[in-house]
Amino acid sequence: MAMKWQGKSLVGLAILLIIIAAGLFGMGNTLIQGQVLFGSTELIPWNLLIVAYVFLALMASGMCMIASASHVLGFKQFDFLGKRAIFLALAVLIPGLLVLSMDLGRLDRALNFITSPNLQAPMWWMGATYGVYVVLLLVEFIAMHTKNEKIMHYASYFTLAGAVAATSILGGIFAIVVQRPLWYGGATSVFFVLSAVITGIACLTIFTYFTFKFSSEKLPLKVDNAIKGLSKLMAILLAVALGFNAWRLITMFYTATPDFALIFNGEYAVLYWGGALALGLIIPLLMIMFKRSSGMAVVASILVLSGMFFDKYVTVIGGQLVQPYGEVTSYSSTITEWLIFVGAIAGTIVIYSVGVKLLKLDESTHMEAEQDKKKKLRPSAV
Amino acid sequence: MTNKNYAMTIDLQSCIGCSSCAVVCKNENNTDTGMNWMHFIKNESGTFPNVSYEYIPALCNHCDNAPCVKACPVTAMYKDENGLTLHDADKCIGCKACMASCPYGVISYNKKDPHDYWSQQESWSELSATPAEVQEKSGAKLPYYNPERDYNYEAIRYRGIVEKCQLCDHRLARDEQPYCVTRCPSEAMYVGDLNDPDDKIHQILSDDHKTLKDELGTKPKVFYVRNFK
Repeated sequence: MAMKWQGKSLVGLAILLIIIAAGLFGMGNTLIQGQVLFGSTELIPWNLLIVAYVFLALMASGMCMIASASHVLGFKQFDFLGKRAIFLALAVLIPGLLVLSMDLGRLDRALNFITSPNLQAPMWWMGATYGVYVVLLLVEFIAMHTKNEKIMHYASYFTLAGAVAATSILGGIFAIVVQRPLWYGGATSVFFVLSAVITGIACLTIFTYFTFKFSSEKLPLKVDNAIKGLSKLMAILLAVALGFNAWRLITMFYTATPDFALIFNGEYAVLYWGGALALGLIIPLLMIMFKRSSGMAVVASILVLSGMFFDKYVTVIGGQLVQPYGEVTSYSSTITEWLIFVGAIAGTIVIYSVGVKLLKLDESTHMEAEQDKKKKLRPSAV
Repeated sequence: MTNKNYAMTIDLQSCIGCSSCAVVCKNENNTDTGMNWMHFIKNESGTFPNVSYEYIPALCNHCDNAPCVKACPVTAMYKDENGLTLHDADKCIGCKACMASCPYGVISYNKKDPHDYWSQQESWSELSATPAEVQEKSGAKLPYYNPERDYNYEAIRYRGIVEKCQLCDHRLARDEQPYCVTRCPSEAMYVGDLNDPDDKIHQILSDDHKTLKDELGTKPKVFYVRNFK
């Protein structure tokens, strides 16, 4: 399948390239002028870029988990999405890592991660696991592309383990900070893995749907079924995420910290109740429950992605607002932060589109080929 | 020779809340505007006439179980052999994990190169030179700063790294008290060696004392003695 690079597509591509250029401008400016361009302060060290990185890194890990779990656990229905999911994970993670790098004050010293490691630090483990994980993803993708089934088989075990480890360690960076109630506790790490799968499913659904919509009049049955299947899985996970949020609220209610007030009825209440919970969890869950169609699944996925972004914003930024001695401060993001974030998203779309055009992302993987062979069916023509 | 285990005491009944510790710290350690290694916590509570006011000088607690040391991915924050929690400017990558994990909010980040005052073209009076002119005539990027700080830490830190109180380790190294301690007009502060049974610090700590947020298990080593409450 090749995307039709005509008319609207070209305009779309031009817009994306302009957004990427704006993102690169923001990055260049940051390298020249430094972090004076960011809204982070002495009181709020981590800014929108960290929110963006967490959001994108979880999304990438989630897609990898879906792809690898389909292979490892034999979810045949999603197997044909494997190569697309792995490539998409790379297309999301690499711009995501670039976003993170912009928040490092001394990017030139990144090698200190290797020469001077601190094995007690979750951030070191996060760097190490994501480093290894990107390589594993590349290996898995190359194995899929070159149809090396043996390597693909083993790589999928490692990438699945890597994705879960990297995601929970990323949560661990926040989970260890005892004085920040919105961060602290082992549940944060587990929730990060859960939100990774949810965000991953949502992203994979959106990209798969639109890729096939662009290239054919009618959604192929296999794709339609896979998207519906993914949405069912997402609905279950959304319900679990609601449970997580309910218990987070209940436990915080009993301690009644200023952080609780912040999300319960304070400055971040609208973002939390409206954005993260209603828009991101409840409405999409109801949508999927009441109408099981691909179109509905895509709309629900878009809401889930926005909700998950709000959730990470509330967690990362909201978690820093309450100061050590109870005073509550505020944070405003800057245009440079947004340019870098939006540029990264545009980068993902362009990398993915190039992949669709050049790398045969809809190729059948081993399991599906075997299945087709058994049933003596003609391989999918999508 | 056994290693030392430095700790600080601040006598809250002697402290008059003048902030001179915070001011002289800036002189000694060349910190930029808005960046304070030594600062204060101020609490006002109650309604007139039943009001209460509390002023507590606050700095890095040089915790024995320092969260910043555990959180730093590249060991730029470390415990030295004398129990101080120190920052290695040459290793720091500016990830701010230490800032996010410090329960006391005493670590600062250099968003820009400090002391840009010296490149300003405006003078404070028509009769005086501009900072940029002083910089040009003296041939020094920073015409006034304390070079002593350079003994074992960057005298002037730079863009992209964090910085914090080093408990004047350059002064402790030659058996001098930190500068804030020596310049306190009411002699409310003292740094001593907990490992030395003859050190005066044990006598000071025989009075009622507390540490900040000790319930977090950070084992802070700035002891507040003789609180009013």
